[in-house]
Amino acid sequence: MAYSDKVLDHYENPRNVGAFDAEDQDVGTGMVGAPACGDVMKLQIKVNDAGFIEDAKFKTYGCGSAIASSSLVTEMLKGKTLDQALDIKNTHIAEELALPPVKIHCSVLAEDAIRAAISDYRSKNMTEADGYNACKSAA
Amino acid sequence: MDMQTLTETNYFELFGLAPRFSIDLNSLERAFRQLQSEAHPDKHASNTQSEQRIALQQSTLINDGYQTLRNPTSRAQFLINLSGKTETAQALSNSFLMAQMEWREAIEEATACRDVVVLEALSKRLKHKITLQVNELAATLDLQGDFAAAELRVNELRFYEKLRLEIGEALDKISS
Repeated sequence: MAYSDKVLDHYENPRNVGAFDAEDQDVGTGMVGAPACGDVMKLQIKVNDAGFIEDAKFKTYGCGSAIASSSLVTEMLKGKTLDQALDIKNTHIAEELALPPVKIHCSVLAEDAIRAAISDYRSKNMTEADGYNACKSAA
Repeated sequence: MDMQTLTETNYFELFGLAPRFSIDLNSLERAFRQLQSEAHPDKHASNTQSEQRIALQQSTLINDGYQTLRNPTSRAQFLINLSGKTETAQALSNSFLMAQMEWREAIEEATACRDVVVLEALSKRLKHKITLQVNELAATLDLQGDFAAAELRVNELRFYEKLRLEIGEALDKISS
């Protein structure tokens, strides 16, 4: 099967490979996997005080399309709010990379990873949000 | 691996086996050989064309069934499909996925260093993990009849099989 130029580009020069400290308060980590092919994907977002995603990193073990999907997603995420990030759908990813039908599930995996990372960030910051605000308003 | 989930034919019935995860692989093999010799094209050489075609289809079906039941992952999935379970499988746990990442990193690192000793140690550890997982799957399916829980275990097993492939490929690459 031939990969599109965009997939090859992301596969050969993946953007934002790496990791943040998953323990950091401003980091959200999404771990997802696809049983059918055994792919695993870790996507991390770093969110600033204003609520924007200022950086994103990934590590993916899988086929070229899975690597390209996660690489592309890290680029798409930067500068977005969490709500804007949730609007990224697998169809956008698949279209941008011209994925063939048999590789659509790779873009689904990347979308799942975005949701997992955001939900991790939100669950981490929910309980302390009140405390934070109280401190800010007191200052 | 063939991930076909044919539910039209009950492969357990085809091979005269009770629909259980724990099966006697020798019985399966014997039934397979018996059926396959009956369906062999040579035996139908004097028959009409349509009879020959049916024999050929039968032979394909027997092969598919044998492959499906011989492999623990596809056998378990076939049983789960037979059960008519409607719940979706539980999500893979974060700790499981994290461990998968670590396995893949360890394989990647050992491959880069061409470290056969480490790869073989990983392979041994993995074999042990697969044995445990298959035993758990047997208990979940045959003793508890919990098909939803079994599907999660099958999904986990698929990742272990992928790891087995990765380690095998890494060892091939180094030795070639």
